[in-house]
Amino acid sequence: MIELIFDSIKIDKNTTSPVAVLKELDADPKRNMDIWIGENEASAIKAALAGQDTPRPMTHDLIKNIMDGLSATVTAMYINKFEELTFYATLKLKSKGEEIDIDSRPSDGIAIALRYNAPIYVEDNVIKEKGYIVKEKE
Amino acid sequence: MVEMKPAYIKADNTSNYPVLILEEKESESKRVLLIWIGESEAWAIDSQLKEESMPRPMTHDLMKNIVEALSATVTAIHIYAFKESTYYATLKLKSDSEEYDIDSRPSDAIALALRCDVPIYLDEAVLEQNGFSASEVMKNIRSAS
Repeated sequence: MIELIFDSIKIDKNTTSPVAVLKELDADPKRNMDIWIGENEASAIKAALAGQDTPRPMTHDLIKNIMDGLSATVTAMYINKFEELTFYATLKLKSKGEEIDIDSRPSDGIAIALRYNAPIYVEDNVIKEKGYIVKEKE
Repeated sequence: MVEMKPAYIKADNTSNYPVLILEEKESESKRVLLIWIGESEAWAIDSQLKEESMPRPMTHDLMKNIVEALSATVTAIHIYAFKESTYYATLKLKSDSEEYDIDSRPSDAIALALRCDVPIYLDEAVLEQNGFSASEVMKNIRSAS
């Protein structure tokens, strides 16, 4: 299992779809991994990074408010596999001392994990297959 | 308190935003309420009204899965106020016989209510202030195309 950090959101030139770029936390060189996501999840991720409050709770804020209300928290997010062009993720929740796994798309998972400052992990074989090394800009 | 149900979604011709039309569930008058919502919430409601199923959990499916995994249930949603052009709603949750009210935008609340099959309530005062008769609706939406 390898820890990743959220790096940025870029736009795929061909599809104009947003892409979340995740980067290895501890490695030299660091591999990146690209995940195609929806527009709304992209804004939810940007809002979490900006940390700015909207006048009304946006969808992923509501999810956090529900968990907070039910005394649950998110401890981590795992990207488990890549199958038929789709990444699969799991949100790790903790509630009353119990651990609960929730199946999620990575986009929602990242938007929620960032709201809890929870670490993001990826299975070794997934980053081995999907990771790539970017040369640092001069 | 009046029970409402989502009837359909249309695009507002002026702003191009989706408008959700809620109508009274049981009454002769069938008053309706229009709520301007975001694109993705509109999609989350529309896909549920059309009973489309997706291979992966979409955001409001995830919300429902989290509520259930935490041994809680959604019992109802309640649209209770209209202030400065904005509707306010509450999710009514129950867990271990305790009740929780969670502040929500109506769009998210309705997308969740449809997935949990729970009633959507509206304050009578809000409906009186902002409701239309069904026949007036088309004029007020200035519907697209």
